[in-house]
Amino acid sequence: MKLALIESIIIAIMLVAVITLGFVVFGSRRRVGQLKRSSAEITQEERRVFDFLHGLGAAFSEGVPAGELHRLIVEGAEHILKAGGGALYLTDRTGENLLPAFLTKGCPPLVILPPNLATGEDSSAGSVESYLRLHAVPLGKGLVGEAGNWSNPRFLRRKTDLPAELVAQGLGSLVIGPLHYRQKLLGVLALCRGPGQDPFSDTKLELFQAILEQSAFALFNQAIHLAAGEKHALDRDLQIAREIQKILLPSDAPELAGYELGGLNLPARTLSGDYFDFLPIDNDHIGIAIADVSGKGVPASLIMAMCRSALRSHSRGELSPASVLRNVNRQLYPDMKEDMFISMAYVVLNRHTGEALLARAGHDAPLIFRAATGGVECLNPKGMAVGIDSGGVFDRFCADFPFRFGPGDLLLLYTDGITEALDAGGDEFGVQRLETELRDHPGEGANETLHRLARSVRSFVGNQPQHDDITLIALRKTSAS
Amino acid sequence: MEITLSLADGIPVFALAGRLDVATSPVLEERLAPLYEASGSKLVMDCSDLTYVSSAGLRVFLMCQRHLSAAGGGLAFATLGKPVRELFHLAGLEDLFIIEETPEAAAGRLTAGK
Repeated sequence: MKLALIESIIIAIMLVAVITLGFVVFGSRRRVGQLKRSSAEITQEERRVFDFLHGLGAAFSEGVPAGELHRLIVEGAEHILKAGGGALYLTDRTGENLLPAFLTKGCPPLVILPPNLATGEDSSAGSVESYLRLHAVPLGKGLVGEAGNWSNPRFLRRKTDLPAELVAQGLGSLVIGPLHYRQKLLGVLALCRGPGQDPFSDTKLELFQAILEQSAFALFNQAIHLAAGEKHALDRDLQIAREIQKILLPSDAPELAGYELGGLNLPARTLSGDYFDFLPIDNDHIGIAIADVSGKGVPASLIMAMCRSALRSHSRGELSPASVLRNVNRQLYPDMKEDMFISMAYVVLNRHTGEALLARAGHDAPLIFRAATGGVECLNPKGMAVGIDSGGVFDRFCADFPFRFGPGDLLLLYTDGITEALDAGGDEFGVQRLETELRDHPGEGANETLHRLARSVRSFVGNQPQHDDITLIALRKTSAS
Repeated sequence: MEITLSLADGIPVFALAGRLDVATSPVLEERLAPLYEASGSKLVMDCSDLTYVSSAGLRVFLMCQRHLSAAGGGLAFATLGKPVRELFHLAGLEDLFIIEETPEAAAGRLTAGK
């Protein structure tokens, strides 16, 4: 009896032991399995982090364009954290706004859309995308704007953490943080998952912080790289452009019996490409041209050089300035880049009769001081700038505008560098001042007028930097003939 | 210069206010740049409160027009104030740009693909 009891106790103990052992073995096997799986996951995650860093590293050494770096950052981070979408916002030049630099297709809007766009009642996917791309987020406003003011990234994993409007726009969970480099805010990076996906887990916060730091470093370096490259290119461009300009501008005005003629060019530190010229047409006629090439640097100065040679070849023997400009436009249009155009005014003067024709291609309207009345007229026939249209529209607008020089009359051609010169208060010199200057000094010689205008704009501007070239041409009829 | 974003019939509208000149046109250029990365983008520029446009501003308008139409989208202008209307008139740009009296009408022209 006693023995049977002991036996059954032993059996029971052994049974418990076996079961326990079984549990232990099974449990540890399962743990080993879990460990194996998580180690594989870690390896994969390491792999993804490595790919990300490698991508950024390659971006440095190859000097990829800014847009490409932005894509690498968002897609790399998205990949590492297995997000459903991502967005990169960067601070603008004022530092007051965050502008979208890259938004993935799968990223739900992180800004609140206007009601009619959000409900989709009058929109297509395209308009939402356009709206998001054009929407600047003021720093401190909204989810993205607030993240710019944080010092660390945050996980917003529950619906209650997120603005209801964003949840309604398809946002499930979000990890978002500021991109800082040397205490300077460069932008905001956000990764998101939709409502159907598992929310991000807390353990990834350190990983995200590391992504932010690497990305900020990459962005900062690229900005420096670009600035240095631009500075270098600009220095070189300026040098070449100045040399070209020096060659192209006439050093002296031709002698013209019965007239005074003068030209003046005051280059700004950043060169825009003003051009003026005096062109012999035939024994009785002279051409006077002024032009301003939009755009900067070598491309602009080359266009200027092309403009000069086109003008010189088409002006010879041609008495209609409009016809010359039409030919110049037709010749230059195919070679001009999309952000370039030339504003021009071209006058053909009959030196014996004092009769003149003006054609204007988008250039500031020339002024003429009338000695007989003491008034100033503005000569503004219609005309589109050169290089915008291949010919049809340009030809229709460009026309010869006749006017006549009386004794003592003075014609002033100018570029917008003078009218747009700003004083310390941000006021511009303006056409009114030019007109007043002309009215207030009747009988003054052409060159005296030019130099007085240059002095007067200089004293108006004071210590402000001159940001555009100033070119002036004055033609004055001295005597009746 | 102030730039305000709104919508007219589902099409983004940039309302520009103030001066668009050498100093301010880079700001507009920066705001427009993200749009050039997408295809088929449409935009209306509302110029009613634009007091001044220089050649630098005109350059941004032309570039925007060319970028958007090259990518299958388009740019239209609405509610031109006197200074901008005069500039477009003098520069002969009325025939080149889509110009309407209201942002809605401008958006309508873009939607119709004209």
